[in-house]
Formats: sequence, structure tokens, C-alpha cells
Amino acid sequence: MRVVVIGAGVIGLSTALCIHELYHSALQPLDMKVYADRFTPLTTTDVAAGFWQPYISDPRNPQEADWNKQTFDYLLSHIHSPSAEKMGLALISGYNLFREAVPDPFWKDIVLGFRKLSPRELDMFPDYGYGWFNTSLILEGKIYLQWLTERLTERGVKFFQRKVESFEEVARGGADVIFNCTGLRAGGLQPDPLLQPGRGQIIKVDAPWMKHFIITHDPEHGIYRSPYIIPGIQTVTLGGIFQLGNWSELNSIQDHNTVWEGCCRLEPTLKDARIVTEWTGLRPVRPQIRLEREQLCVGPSNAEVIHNYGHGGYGLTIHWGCALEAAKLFGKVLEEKKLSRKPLSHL
Amino acid sequence: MRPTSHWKTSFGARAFGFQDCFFRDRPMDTARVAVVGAGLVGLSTAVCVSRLAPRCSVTVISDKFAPDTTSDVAAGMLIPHAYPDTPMPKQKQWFRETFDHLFSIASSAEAGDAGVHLVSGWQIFQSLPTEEEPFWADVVLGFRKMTESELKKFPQHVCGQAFTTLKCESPAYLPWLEKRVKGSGGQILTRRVEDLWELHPSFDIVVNCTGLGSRQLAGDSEIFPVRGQVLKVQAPWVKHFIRDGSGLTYIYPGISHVTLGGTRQKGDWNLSPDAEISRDIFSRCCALEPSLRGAWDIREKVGLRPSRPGVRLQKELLARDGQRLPVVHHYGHGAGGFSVHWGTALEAARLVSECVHALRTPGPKSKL
Repeated sequence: MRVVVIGAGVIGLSTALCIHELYHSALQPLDMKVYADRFTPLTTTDVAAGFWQPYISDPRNPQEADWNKQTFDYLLSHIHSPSAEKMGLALISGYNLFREAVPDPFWKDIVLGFRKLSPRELDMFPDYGYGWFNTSLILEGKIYLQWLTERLTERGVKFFQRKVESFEEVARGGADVIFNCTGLRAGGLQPDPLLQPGRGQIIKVDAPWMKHFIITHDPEHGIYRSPYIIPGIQTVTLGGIFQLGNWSELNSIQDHNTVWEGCCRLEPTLKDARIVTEWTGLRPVRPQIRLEREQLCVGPSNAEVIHNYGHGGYGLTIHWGCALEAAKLFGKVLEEKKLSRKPLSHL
Repeated sequence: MRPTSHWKTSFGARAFGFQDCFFRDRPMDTARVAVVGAGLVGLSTAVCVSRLAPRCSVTVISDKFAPDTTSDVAAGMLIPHAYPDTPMPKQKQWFRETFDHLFSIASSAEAGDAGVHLVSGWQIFQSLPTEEEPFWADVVLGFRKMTESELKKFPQHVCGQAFTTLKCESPAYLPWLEKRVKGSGGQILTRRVEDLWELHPSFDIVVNCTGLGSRQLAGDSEIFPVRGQVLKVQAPWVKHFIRDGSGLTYIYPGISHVTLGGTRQKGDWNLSPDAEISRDIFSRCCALEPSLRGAWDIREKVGLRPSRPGVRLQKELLARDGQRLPVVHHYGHGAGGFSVHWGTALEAARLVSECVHALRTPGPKSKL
């Protein structure tokens, strides 16, 4: 069984690991390769703040709520393992702020200790009149990708740096199943008008006194267009930019100012924070994630493509649930091909 | 003016003989206040006296300054310790005043300089605690019982409390307080005081903030050390505090390191770290937070908590050979220094004001 995963961001690598963990003993040999034109630290995942939190509105596809939960539970179960630090995983508590009261989010029982903010807590944020406090998780993209790469390498998965121009090219190379985890550039392999860049720009600063995340919401502007402050392991990410349709990967001075001023207004203690670096990333935005099978007719054989892209700004938040779903789809492919020699383990 | 010897401290403050403390242009009725001790208590008292006591000059005199004071070993977490000899309402008042004072610093642009920040976390119990809620539950932020899913993180513990409090890092906070003292016109001197009478007649009032030093300086046998050993480690992924039951074992994440503790060794004066104890502290903390096994740059520190059944906040009029020296004692905060320092400093400043008033009251014998 020859599997190719296209894409080496969090979706590509976690899908690869999940498939390998679940099927390597059932399928011998399982020949798995990862093809990507960009690897860490140059993927979109590397720019992410690395924080578990879905959007506050209900997802269009109710399955996404389950995938978010599966991801949180999976990560939480690793919190005490010796791998936690090497995965870039840590618990973090903090604040979601609103100008007015809003309904509780669908994920309130997924995170830990969810509650409303008390008046004294709200006094800290004069521009906001309502909010939540809860404990969630940090999962730093760069560290996690490195960890995933190590786990995959241990398992004998091979990595190739190449720009894939078509699924056909990969199928003709001998792949039986192709996982399309190409994120924003999926449109280059197969046009998808629903997929657009949601450009973000972030500033990473040195502010080790910040122990909480602070995320503001402005219903007029939409998700990620309001200042947010998310501490990571070594630095703190400041953000608040979301530009649909903007493909520029260059940092903009105007966006820098928007982020800096917005975050300093929210948290005056940042005024003296040293700026470490600044990045732009293009979120792979889609009304819902494309996670489905597609058969390709390539000459005499039928290659199977399993699409897994369009995770917008919540890729890290939902990645493991999607990987498990991709694995389920893979299982169906195998059943159809009757390749599995042992009963499949329950997914 | 007889010759004086000068020596520099790590902060460049020069030490003079007390003669140089005379302010040439000092109005005749400025009371000269000497604060002995430059730990958390001495410096915060000096700031409060400068602000509150009428027409005083303040001089802080100590042989030790940050980062070499007892305060520098402490993590500086605002979680109070109960003083058996102090009424609860008073302790709560002190804690609330301290919390409010630090809270406004934490929300301001000064927070980074002052080393003050908010931190959330959990206090967990292996057996049900005697009191449902501690007296300070409504002073900290967001105090509540931990949920079942939160408790899963601590399989050995049956219940816990989650809240947000403040942390105050000595190596930043003490120098920040020192700047405030100087900003109000105060002076800082490096000198070891062996006897409070050395300060007479250069000073009109002495504030004794010498912690354990009061055993000798004030002849107070009620004060004794409770030795605390801690580890200061690098583990920047730890964003929450964890305090076990009585507070013997704790993990307190700060700005530049995480403090792991601890010990409570009564009557032990030994300032050298003990390797066996370090291993034990590390092991107890890793049991609560396994990711600490990845911590690096582990440093051992020892501090002697200046312990007493209650904080001594008291005026005393020293007298000998017809001389009088008003003293305000302000020491004995034990394990709770950071939690109440501002409240007790405000009270000490009030006592100093009373002394100043008594000095200015005309009459052959001023009553203190």
C-alpha cells in the first residue's frame, strides 16, 4: 500500500501520523511519503499563535464540533506525558472579551473551568463589558511540527521537498491513496472557489510576565479582526488581522500599527515589550473544511484522493479530529480494496 | 565634619557617616526618619512614610539590598498565611490593601518594571480542607471550586480551588520600590546597624524593619527563622501556579523563572542549600507537574522566614541617659510578607505619623 501525503503543515503531518499509527500493522508494507514544497519553519502552521480555540459561532458542519472536541481531549491526554514539552503543549488560562453579553460558545464544556468574568475582572478591560474565563491549551506550531516530523521519521516515513503540480503526477508515480493536505494552495491542484486566503499578521514579543491569553471580539469586524494576545512558550503573539482575499505574504506597516496599538491599548504593560519577530500567514479559509474522498481516473488504475484542507484559523484546534476522520475514510478505501489482512481496530 | 568612609553598594549608593545626612537647607521641623532594613518590608515602609507622614525625610539603612535579601528568595505570591495572634479582619484588611495596591500596578504600564503580574492556578487538597473557603477568597479574582475535569490533572487530590492572584518578583519589585523612595527625596545608605542607638541623634525616629535581625537589635526572642529552600528553574511552558494543601509543596511561575518549593524548618539558621532537600523538592513538584522533568538551569536558594506569632507593629520609646529614641517596630511577617506588606506598611506609616506628631507637640515630656 503506497500512501502519499501532500502538505507538511499540521494537517499533512498529523494525518500522516494518525494513518501510520492506525494502519501500519494491518498493512504491511505501508509505504508512506510526504511531499511538500514548504516544510517547517515555512508553513502556515509555523505562523499560527498555537492556541486551541474554535470560532465562537457554531460551525456550519456540526461534525467540526466533534473534531474540535476530539482534538482537545487528545491533546489534554498528553498534558502529563513526558512528550508534552517536546510537543509544544501546555495548559493556559485566559480571557475572551466582548462589548456586550453573548451566548456561551459550543465549546464551553470542552475547555476546562469555563465561567463568566466577574465585575472586578472586567474592570481590567475598560473597553469591554462582558467576557469568559477558561483554561485551554497552547500547541506551538513550530515545535509540534518538529515533533510530528520526528515521530514520522522514526516510523520510516520519507519526506520529499517538491512542488506537486497535479494529483495525476503523484498517481502515476505509484501512489494508491493520496491525502490532499495542501491548505491554501489546494486550488492549484483542483480549482476550489470556496477556498480563499484569510491573511493574518502577527508580532511576537518578549513579555514573560504575561501568563494569560486575552482575546477580544468585535461582532462588527468579525473573527480575528480584533486584538488578541496569546502567550506561547517563549514569546507572546500579538494579532488582530484577518483580510479575506489578500494573498500578500509581506508584512505591512499599517497592519503592524493596527496590531501594536490595539494590543497595547488592551494590555498597557506591553508598551515595553521587546519585539522579537513579525510574520504574515495566509489562513486557508473555507465555509467548512473539505474532508472527503474522491476517486481519480488515471489511466488504468483508480487513485483515491482524500481531501483534508480549508481549516481557516482553527487548524491546530481541529487537526486531530480531522486526522481521525481522514483515517476513517482511508479505512473505507481499504475495505473496498480488501487489502487489510487483519480486522481493523475500532476507530 | 569629620572624615567619613565611602563604599559603593551594587546600586552605586554611597555610604556615608550619618553626619552627611543633615540636610543643610532642611526646615527645622522636618522629622528625620531612619528605616532600618531594605527588604520588602523596609522599602515599602519607606515609601509609605514618605507619602503619608507629614514633613519627614526618609533614609533607608541596610547592609543588604536586592538581590541579597530574604525577600529575594521568596516567590512573592499573593496567597496569605494566617497569623495566629492577629485578628482575622485585620489580616484580611492588610491583604486587601496589598492586593489592591499591586493590582493597580499590574494593570499599568509600570507592571514590567515593578515585576508584578497576574497569575492563575490551583490550590489542591489530598483530603478535604477544614474550611470551605479561606478568608481571602473574595479578595483574589474568580475564586471557585475546581471542576471534576480540572481535578483529573491531579489524581492524588480530592478537591481544589481555582483563582487568579498576583505575583510580585523581588529582584524587580525591590529596586522599583527603591526608585520610589529616591523619587520622594529619600536616601539609601549601606551600613550594618549593630545597635538602634547608633541612629541617635542623627535621626528623630527609627523604623525597625530588620526581620530576623530584630532578635538581636530589638532583643525579641519571639522571632525565629523558618528555613525555606527553593529551586528556581527554567520551565517557561508552565503558566499556572499549583499549591498543594498546606502550601509545603508549590510551583509558582514568574517572569524570569519558576519557583519550586519548599520546606518549613523551624529554628534552622542554615543558609546553605541541601542537595538532598533539593532532590526532594524537585520530586514533589514533578509529581504535581510532570512536565517539570524538562526544566533546566536549576538553582538552589535558601531564605530564613522571619517568623513570629504575629507581625510586630508597635511603637516603643527607647530611653537611656536622659536620651529618647522613638522606634516603630515593623517586622515578623514570616511566610506572609508579600501578601500583607503594603497593608502593614501603611499601618507602620500611621505609627510613624503619630511619633512625628508627638515630637512636635510642645511640652517637657512628649508622650508617645
